[in-house]
Amino acid sequence: MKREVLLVEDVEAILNSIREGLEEYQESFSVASACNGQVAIERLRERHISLVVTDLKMPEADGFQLLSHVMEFYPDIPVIVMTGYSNTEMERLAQRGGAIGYIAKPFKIEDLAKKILNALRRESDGGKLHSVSSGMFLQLIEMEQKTCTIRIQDRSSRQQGVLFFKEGELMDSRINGLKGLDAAYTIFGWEEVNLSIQNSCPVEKKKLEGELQAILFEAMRLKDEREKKKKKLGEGASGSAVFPGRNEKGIPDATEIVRRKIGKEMGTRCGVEGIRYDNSWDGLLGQMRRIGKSFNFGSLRLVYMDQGGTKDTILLPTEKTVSLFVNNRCPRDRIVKVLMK
Amino acid sequence: MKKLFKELLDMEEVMGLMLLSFEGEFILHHFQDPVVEKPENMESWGLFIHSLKGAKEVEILFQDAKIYVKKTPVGYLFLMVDVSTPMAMLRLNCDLALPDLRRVGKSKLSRSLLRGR
Repeated sequence: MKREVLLVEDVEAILNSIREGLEEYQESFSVASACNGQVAIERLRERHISLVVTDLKMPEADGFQLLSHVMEFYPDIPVIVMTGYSNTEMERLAQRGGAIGYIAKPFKIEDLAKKILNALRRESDGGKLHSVSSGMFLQLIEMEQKTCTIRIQDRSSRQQGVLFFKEGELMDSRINGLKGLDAAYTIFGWEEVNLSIQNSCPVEKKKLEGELQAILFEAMRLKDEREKKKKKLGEGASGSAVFPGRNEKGIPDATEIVRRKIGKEMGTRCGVEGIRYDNSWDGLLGQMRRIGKSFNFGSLRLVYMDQGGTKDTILLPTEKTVSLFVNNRCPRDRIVKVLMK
Repeated sequence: MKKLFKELLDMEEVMGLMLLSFEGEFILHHFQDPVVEKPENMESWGLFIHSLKGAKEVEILFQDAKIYVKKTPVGYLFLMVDVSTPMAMLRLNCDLALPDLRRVGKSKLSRSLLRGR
């Protein structure tokens, strides 16, 4: 499986020098770069990153912000922190924030490479498998009640994804920035895969609703539907998966558009914990539409609901209803304004 | 009775107000301008309130207006406001009105409704 390390450093000369130094290890991993935390967050959304090496003090989002973003949204990605402000307090903070390693500048490239390779090796401490049927294998994980993180690659499209299992239960999944059920449906639609197993699961709380079997069936159904549509369009059924976050024509889907918009306008501290399609609110939205029509208020654009719990819900009545779960750190009026644009 | 919601109705952007019991019965309603359709005939309000599943607050944003729904001790308060209404101010005014509403209680509100709706 191809591994890519994301190198985040604001000083161009240092960035280039580390990049060049790491070229020697290109058989083991390639290097992508970002000049600050904000750009790094974009890269994480777009690419399949295996590990992040980041400076701490940077403009825009700094290393600590990036670290907390990675811990929250990409808990499987290890982070190595590098900084010129070496002191034990900084080291302690970085480790408390979730960094697996720390390297003080200046350092030898081989020392950094050693840390990277050690971390990447842990990705497959439970073994590797090539050309296996994903459905069969995942059901086996469930049966054996395994706790693990599975990095999985579709052999035909070369896309990569991650699945998190705790005692055989599927906790979450992701493909780049796409998470939850949307990612699971895409991954489970892959037929022949390569995978590596890490014998630990960083996800504590289940973020996916439904049993593995049901998700597998739904993934198959969606795949069939996609293939039928392709046939109808005269493109033939190639069997390749739709790129995550995009529809068959390559246009980003509504959840992806919302995710990008919030990321761009609000950054990491937006308080959004999940974005997904959810038709369970369609009845209520229908009633709201009727009320709006009676009052002559025009079309329904957005609903913000505080249900009294720890998370509020925002509903966007697009072609398929999109729901966002936001925590109490979410600036309510600001996010509404951003989404209404 | 309107005194209770004076602060809210005095807000320039507030177009109307309705207070409904948790069963969907109208306790009171007041609109700055006459409405085309009587709100009682518009929707099965009981069903709508049931569908809110006990939500504390709901903001419904339409293209040309907003409806702010707030759970009160006696039922749900609906405020129809202009699309440009500063919601923070509206929420604050609502919070200020609620203790009075609690004091007046449902029965008095109902009596007042029968007299002057």
